[in-house]
Amino acid sequence: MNGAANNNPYLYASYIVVWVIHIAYAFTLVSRSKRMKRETRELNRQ
Amino acid sequence: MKTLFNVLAVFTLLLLGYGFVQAMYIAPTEATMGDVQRIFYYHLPSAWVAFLLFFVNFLASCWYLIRRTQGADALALASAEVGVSFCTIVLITGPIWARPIWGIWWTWDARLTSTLVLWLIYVSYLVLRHYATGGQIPVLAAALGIFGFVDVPIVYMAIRWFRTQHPQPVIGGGQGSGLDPRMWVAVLWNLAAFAMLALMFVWIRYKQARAEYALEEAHAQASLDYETEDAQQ
Repeated sequence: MNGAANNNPYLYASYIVVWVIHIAYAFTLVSRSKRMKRETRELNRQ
Repeated sequence: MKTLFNVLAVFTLLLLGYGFVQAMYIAPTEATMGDVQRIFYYHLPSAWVAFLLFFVNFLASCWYLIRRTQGADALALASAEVGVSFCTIVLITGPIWARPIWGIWWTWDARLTSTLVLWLIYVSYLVLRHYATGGQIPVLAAALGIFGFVDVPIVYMAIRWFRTQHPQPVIGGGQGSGLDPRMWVAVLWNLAAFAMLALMFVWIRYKQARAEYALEEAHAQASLDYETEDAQQ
């Protein structure tokens, strides 16, 4: 990598944003799965 | 099925890793913009994957209106939700790239505005699905998905139909447009990686949506059983 190095913070910021969004979405999927498993367990117990 | 999912998950992670290496280290540095142009390798594939997911939503919505199957509705919901996350990435990485190159974060040109409208349409689709109640919600959502998809070709063609601040297309953009072949390699690796990631997300969300239906039916059956028992006593 070389070139206009003073613009590099924009590059890093955009890559970080992409990964934060993907990881945050993955976490919402995992937490939804856990909630649904809990609800299923409670329903089976009733 | 679980083994296939795990294999695909590992494959996706490898693709994402190699796509990152391609984008940051292997693709050549663009002559005028410098390294900040490397945002392109995440910006463009995210946009294409979002368009693809909204197309899947369109097809699933049509299928739901014709057949009224839970599977079609679940696929429509999953593709819209994952599509919004990719479209969000497009709307954030675009301004971050624009600021050092254009000197502004945002301009109300046809491409940017139509992309924002697209995002708002599918966010409203998700809000409708999440907060509205009643048996007709999947039908209303399917109608919104079908008419909302009209904006996708408008976003795609905006830079051809109008004079925009946004650059001209890299495919079929006429004389002087196009990409260095080594840049194409980085674009395609990241496109494959993001498409696989989207597939994994849609897969999980689809299964969750189907499980939500089953859970709702089980809840309804349980309360019916409870009422019947109550009436018999």
